[in-house]
Amino acid sequence: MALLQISDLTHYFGGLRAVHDFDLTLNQGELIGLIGPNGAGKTTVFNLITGIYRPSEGSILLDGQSIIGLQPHRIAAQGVCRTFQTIRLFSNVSVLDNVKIAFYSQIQSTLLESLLRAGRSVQEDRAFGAEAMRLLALFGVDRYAHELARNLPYGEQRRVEIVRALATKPRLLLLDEPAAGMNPGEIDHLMDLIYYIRDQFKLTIFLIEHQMRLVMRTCERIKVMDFGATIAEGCPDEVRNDQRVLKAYLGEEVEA
Amino acid sequence: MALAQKLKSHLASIPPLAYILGMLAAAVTERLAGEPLAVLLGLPSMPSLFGITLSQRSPLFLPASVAYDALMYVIPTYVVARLATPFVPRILERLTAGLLMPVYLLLVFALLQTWGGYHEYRILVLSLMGINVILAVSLNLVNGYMGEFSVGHAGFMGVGAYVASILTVLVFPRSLGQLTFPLALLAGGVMAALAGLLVAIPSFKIRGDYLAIITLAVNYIIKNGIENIEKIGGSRGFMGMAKLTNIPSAFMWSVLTLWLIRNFVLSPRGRAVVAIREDEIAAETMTVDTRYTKILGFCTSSFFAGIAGGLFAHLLLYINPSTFSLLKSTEVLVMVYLGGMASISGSLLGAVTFTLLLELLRPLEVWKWVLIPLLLVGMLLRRHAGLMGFREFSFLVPREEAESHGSASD
Repeated sequence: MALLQISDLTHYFGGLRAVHDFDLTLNQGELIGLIGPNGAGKTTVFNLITGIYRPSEGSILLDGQSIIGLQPHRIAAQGVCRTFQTIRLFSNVSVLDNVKIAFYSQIQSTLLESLLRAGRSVQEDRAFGAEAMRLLALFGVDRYAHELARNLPYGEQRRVEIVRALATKPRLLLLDEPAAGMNPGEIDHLMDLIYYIRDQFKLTIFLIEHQMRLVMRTCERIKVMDFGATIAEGCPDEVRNDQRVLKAYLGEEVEA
Repeated sequence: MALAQKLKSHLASIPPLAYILGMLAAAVTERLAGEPLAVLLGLPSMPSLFGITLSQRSPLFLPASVAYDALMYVIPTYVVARLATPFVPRILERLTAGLLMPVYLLLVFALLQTWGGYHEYRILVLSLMGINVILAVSLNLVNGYMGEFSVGHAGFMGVGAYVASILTVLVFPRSLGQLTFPLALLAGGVMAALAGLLVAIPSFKIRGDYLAIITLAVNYIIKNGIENIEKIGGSRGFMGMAKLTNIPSAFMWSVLTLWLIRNFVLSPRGRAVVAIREDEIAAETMTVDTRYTKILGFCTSSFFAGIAGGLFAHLLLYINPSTFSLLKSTEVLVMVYLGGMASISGSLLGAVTFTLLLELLRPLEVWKWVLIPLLLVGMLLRRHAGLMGFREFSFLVPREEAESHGSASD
């Protein structure tokens, strides 16, 4: 069974059709890219999958179960996590606590135990801290653990955002423009990182990206959107040579 | 300048425990020799609050009051603290880590009780201080940690005050006063939390800044509602309570509140509250049940407001609906912003400072409500985070845990 099965997904903002008839089947372990010009509806697709918007039509199945109408935190707890196009770290909180917050769905202790600082609550918190440090160390950002998130350089904030997403124990990771604002060297690092987390954490990855270099090299399959519609789909080479894609990106050719 | 520096570093070299012992010694001395010393200095009576009230009556008493403070408090405290300093490390050595806090608390309690326990006015001021600490720290949970804006804290305080008073006056046998008092307070807290739940459910259904408007409305609804219930006195108010709030009970409940709220904000659930303040959508994406967390935070906050209300009612022995009007809510807001957002220590400091400020400015009567907001605005312009915003005293929150608030330990 496919991990994620999306069919006929359509969403309207008032009279504007932001996404229509979007289909996608994601199998375990795949790495798929979603590209398209600005305003094509890519981030809307992410917001629909993660439950931030409720789709006007269509279905989204996770492990064959519909997740439409579930609150975002429930969808996240079921293993669908994401990063954001503009970094959304908890900026006035330490890097370590940013990651520890993502363990919320794994809290075992009761409210009373938290209030009295008794029983499981202390050990549990210690375990969260240790696990967060382990993840931060894995990505080489543990030296920032006690810094406020907003004080980190941009590229490191991106890393921390990925670490934080991984702390929710996702099966499907949605990356929204992970390379935004990065220079070519940083993008190379990011590519290695994406492969690494997919293999290390047995993840399925669905990513939105404008950096063609990154998409073409890392993704096995690419979907192209324009004005809410899917205009092309296939392996990087197919997409690169697709007339509609070229038109969407470069504009209409002038007939001589 | 150099002298001031030297003095400062000298005073800082004396450990806190020595100071507490010094102050305790001063309080004992005052109990024995306070009255004679006051007479000797030409004061009409022993200064009840460092001479503030006496000097308010006539500025002529000011020099003698200052002399009294120096002779009665400053010098004995310093001398004893200095003498005790060499023994402090030895005392601390014998105490295991778990005993340290209880010993400090016991000493502080002994200090407050010795200094104020025999004096009506001091009992009143210290009890009000404790009540204000509870109010400020509980409101800070919503306004500081959660980043929402509640402006109706006094409404929940009123619910607690009325419920607790009705129980002690009309339901519980009067002879069991002190025994049933905690029960009455808890019942008041629970009813206030339920009132909070009624507010929280609709307010947090939708994203956005509706809480301020709704709490404003609820403050009025509670006040006007009670005014129209003749059975409990309506606008004439309610009385007949026994004087059950005193330094021990105010101290115990404020320490308990500080401890519980501190534990909560340091716990994983408390971190979720802070995450909501920082970015609600990101929190939700990180599996945080934001709606539940907000409701939980708000109800916890109103619960403690209710407890404070019960203590307040059994201190003043008379309550009426207009006691719990928007003015009271504003007072709590002032304490929170004065002390600093998202800081337990700040709320403690803010409440203590504010209580003393109110006493200091009492002669100004209504004009103090012109001066206090001005002082607040002036202070926030200089230090917009308040006295202790986003920071904690290390005795309240250990340094390694302070960052849970997004704050540094001080």
